[in-house]
Amino acid sequence: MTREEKDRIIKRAGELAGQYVPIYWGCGQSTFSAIVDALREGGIELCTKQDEDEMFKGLVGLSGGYGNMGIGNCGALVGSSFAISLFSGIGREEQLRDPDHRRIAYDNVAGTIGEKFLKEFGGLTCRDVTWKRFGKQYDSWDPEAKKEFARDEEERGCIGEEKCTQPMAARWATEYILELLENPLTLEKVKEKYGEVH
Amino acid sequence: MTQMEKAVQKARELATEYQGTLVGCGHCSFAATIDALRSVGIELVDERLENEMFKGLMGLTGGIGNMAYGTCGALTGAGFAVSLAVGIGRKELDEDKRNRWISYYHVREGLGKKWIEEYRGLTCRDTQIVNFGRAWNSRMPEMSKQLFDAAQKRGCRTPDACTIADAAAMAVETIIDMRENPRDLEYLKEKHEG
Repeated sequence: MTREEKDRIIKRAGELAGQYVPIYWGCGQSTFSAIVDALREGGIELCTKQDEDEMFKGLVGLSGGYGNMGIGNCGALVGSSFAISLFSGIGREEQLRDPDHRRIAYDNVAGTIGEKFLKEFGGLTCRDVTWKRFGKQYDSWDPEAKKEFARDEEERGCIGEEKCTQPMAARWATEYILELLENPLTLEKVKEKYGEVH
Repeated sequence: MTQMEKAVQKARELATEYQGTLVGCGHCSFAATIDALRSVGIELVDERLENEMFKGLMGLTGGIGNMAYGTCGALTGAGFAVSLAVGIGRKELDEDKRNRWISYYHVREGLGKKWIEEYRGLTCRDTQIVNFGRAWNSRMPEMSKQLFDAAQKRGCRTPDACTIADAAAMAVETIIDMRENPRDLEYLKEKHEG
């Protein structure tokens, strides 16, 4: 795949996330679908459209720092990590054969989007992200605070494909998946790093 | 035993078994929840799709890729199962984007709030601190080994003491309860002032 082709897919992930956020209004599912749909358009199928729709349902409740509680993982991180992990492809069969397989998925996620979030936002939770980006934290279950969050997003131009956290995360994750596609982490590499830990 | 009691017991047993064979909190709490429900006749997804979701959840284990800073993986896998059971997808959000709050509500009430009561937070480190009085960075091989040894010593590999089993049991309870007592958007609007 050429650099141009990669850049087109990465850009498309950001565009789609920007489109999905105001329609599906939730960071986890919007980010995940943007990544999967952009890759599919580029010829890389992480899962079928039908499976994607079911996974989407599972991710809705993890949005907004876990059931919109703010104190769990940022939903954009969840959607991105889920896509990277899905790409890693470690299922029951691989785990039963050798449980060290799991470290491929772990390292693919931690070494890419996990580290990126830590660097950019100083943490992984929803409130870590808003603290860094807005200088505020919100309780989204408090109707007034929720309105203020929406107003702040609007005023800062956060609903859109450039500044919004979801498109940023979707672009980062898509780029990481394209990199991993060319340089996959293997069981041998993981064992070299961790030894026979299990 | 009621259907609920049978499913909860099965979830605890499977979670403990899976932690020994499939290893890892996120995918194991999810698989234990789904398989326990299936054992009492509630099929949220078929086995093929369950395995695809398992692949996606694996990287969310251990507070995101074993980093421990993020949400406890057992809680993540359980929350994913609850949200899946609620079933708010693209179609439902197209109809009314506020439908997402139904998923949020069940994840928060059924799991999140209970976790905070027990662990004073949702992250992997919060959970480890309460369980062990310390938290380990499992991305470091020696620390990962120490955590596994501590879990063994604490008796975590039993259905009543395993955190993954607790999360799966909570998810099963939440899912069966919501099937028996469905809460729609109207209920939430009333409860949470619109």
